[in-house]
Amino acid sequence: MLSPAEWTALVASLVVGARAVVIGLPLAVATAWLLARAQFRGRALLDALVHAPLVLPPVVVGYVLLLTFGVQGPVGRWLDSVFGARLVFTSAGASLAAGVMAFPIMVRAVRLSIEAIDPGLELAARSLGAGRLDRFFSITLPLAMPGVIAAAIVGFAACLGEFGAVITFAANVPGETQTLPLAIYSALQTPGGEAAALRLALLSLSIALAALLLADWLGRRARRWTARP
Amino acid sequence: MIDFDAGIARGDFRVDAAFAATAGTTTALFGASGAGKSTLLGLLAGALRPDRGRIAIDGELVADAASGLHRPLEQRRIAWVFQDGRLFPHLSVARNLDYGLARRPRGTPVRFARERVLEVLGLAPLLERWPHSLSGGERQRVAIGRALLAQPRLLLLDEPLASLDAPRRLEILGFLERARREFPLPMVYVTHSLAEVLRIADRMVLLERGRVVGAGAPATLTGRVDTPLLAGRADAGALLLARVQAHDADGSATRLDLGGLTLMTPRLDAAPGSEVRAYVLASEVMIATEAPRGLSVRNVLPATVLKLADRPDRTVLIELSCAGQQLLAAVSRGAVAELGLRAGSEVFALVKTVAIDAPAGGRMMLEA
Amino acid sequence: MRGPLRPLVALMLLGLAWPMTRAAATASGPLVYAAASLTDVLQQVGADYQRETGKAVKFSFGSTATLARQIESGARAELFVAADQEWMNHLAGRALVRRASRRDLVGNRLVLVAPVASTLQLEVAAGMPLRAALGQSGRLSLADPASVPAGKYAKAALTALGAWREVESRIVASDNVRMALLFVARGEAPLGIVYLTDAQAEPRVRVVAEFPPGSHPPIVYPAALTTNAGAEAAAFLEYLSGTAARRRFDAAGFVPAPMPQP
Repeated sequence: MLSPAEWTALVASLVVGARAVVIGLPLAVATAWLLARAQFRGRALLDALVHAPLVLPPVVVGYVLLLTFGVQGPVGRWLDSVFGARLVFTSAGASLAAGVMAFPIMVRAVRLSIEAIDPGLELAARSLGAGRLDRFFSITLPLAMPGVIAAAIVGFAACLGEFGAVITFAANVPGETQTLPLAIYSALQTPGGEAAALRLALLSLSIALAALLLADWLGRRARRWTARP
Repeated sequence: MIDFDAGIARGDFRVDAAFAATAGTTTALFGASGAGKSTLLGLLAGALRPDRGRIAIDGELVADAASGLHRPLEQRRIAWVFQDGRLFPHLSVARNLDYGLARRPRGTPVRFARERVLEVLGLAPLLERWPHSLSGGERQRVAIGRALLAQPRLLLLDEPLASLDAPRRLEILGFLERARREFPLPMVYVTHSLAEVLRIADRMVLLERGRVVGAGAPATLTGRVDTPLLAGRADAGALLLARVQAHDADGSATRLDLGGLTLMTPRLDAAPGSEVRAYVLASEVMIATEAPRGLSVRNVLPATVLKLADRPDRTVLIELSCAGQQLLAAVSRGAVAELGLRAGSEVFALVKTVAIDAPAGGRMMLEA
Repeated sequence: MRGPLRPLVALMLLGLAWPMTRAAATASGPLVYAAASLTDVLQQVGADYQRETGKAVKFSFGSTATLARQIESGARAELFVAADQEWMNHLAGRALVRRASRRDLVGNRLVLVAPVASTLQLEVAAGMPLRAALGQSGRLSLADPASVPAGKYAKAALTALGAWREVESRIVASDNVRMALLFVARGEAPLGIVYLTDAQAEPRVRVVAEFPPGSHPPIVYPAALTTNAGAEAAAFLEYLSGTAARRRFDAAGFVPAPMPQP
């Protein structure tokens, strides 16, 4: 049903998205908690930075990543000299690009669910002797779980669909960074590639729908588990 | 046990109070809504930082505005029962109960054992339930149990019965009394319900607009015409401490010993010799200058007029001394003039109804 | 309408009309779609043209494939300059360009480039050790050989030299040659294949070697007026074919268009 190249693109998409979410989600949760509950100077700045990828053109984000994480950029140079790790042209780089674009979406989803938690519960937990980290893991995180799950699914879906940042930072390398959107784009670039493009587009759509249904089901289960009325 | 002298200001709202409480006592913070009771509680607990003053608990200074000392809430070992219970919705009742227990500081002895707490509060059948399926009364019981199991050195209760209906309130108050007897723990109880105070408090602190306007034992503060917050109430009255003497042969009445005088009440479910608190509404006390005859009222107590105070509703509140305790009577102005009542007058106090609060959970006299 | 509202509405209408008046003032030139590798040189030619005629030429640069598809979908381009014959043929076959106006504008050379700091030396010849030159993890940066002219030429050249099969798996293909150039310029790829003109325009790369013209189909840039073209476009096309433009092309490294193959 799928040609080997199309299959490769599918696997690449899933790998890139999964890696981006696995690494990005804990960061998103921590960031969301900071923005929702902590008071510190520079909070507004953090908020703006987090949301920057939402308002910038994806290609610009990809280019900024290139300047920063490319082998001549400050972070990229350090990664290369210390770990011998390069991100451009690699699946990890694609995860970085897709993950950065999906990050604000994940942060928003988690933040909303943290803010929905009754702060009185945290006060009660404090009165029973729970410190900050303890409260986060025993009260905040479990109650925010539906939002965290939603963030993971929506973040994954956003990664699957990300194009501009990935192609600019990680380029279009089949088997490594050629995710479904990039494969569709390549197919469209080739004369007569419309049929392949359509097949890939339908595949992407199916995955997106499956992800949304999964998110819904998991969300319902999580709500039952947190025993919300 | 508590040495509180602190204040805080938030915009227009100011609270500045000083009070003390000894170990093992229940102190009621009494006042109307907005008087600053919850704010005081927040300062005690450590949820708020005082702008001025010091707070010491059990001899330990936990807050000092001058030096900036502020022991965080989670380290003060003060458990807090909230008006809305605040059970953790994602944990079962059992795990809610154990939350504080599991977090007690290393080396803290378990003075309030799990089995005892479950028994006293009747929590055993609720253990596997979830908070959202509990009734209001059940929730508060679990909240109290959870607070006790945290092995606190001080228990704060912020209007714990306010969101319950009357029968539930009675029930939970009974549990609280049992808990108080079983577990010697100082408590600070915030309420605007005089009934709750009378039943449970050893001491009262009266709060009005953020300031302490009176403090003392309920028996001392009630029964006076000049106590702020209390004397002006429709349910102004006197708290009497009495002892059950005997039950009437026909089983319809009980005699109480009131410092030598006898007080008759409808049959009480209390053993002879047990102590009871009796609240007598001023509006239920009539004055006679001569010993009446042929009256249905069975309590005719000789008393001396101490003070008189005019009330806005054209009645006069009369403070009487009776068997060494205080009694209040509300009498019309005309009657006072006619009878020529003044300080020092020897009269008879006719007590029509007495509301008794017996250890086993008797009638609650007043709606909040 | 109400008092305070009137001046506001007038201001809004004036604001809307303003750009239109400005546009009329600098009489607008034609809309030209051109291959990415012509970006710098055509912008210079366009500036020259505006100085001479007062008409501002509007350019849209991009990958030949993308531009061709856009024209196919109805984009209002008046002049199309492609980076290979195939895409021009594609449009011609669909009667989207005026056959009579079609001409070969300029040619180009294909070069192997490296980041400017690289000291790599490599000769372009049959059996060249290209794979080894890339090193263990290095990639060869090209434009997409499946669809972009620069990539197709590169693949043809490498195939002719017998080096394609060994480097095929090490290729990173960009959707336009400028992207391919950027990756080499930023040091992400140790080697890349781009047009000579691109290498000359980018100070952060150096030319390692030039591919012999015989190793690939001649690189030629056909230009043609689309069916939308107005008189302005035709005038500009003539200018492009003239000596002033020729000087610009030469300076940038373009070569005269090769003679059409028999």
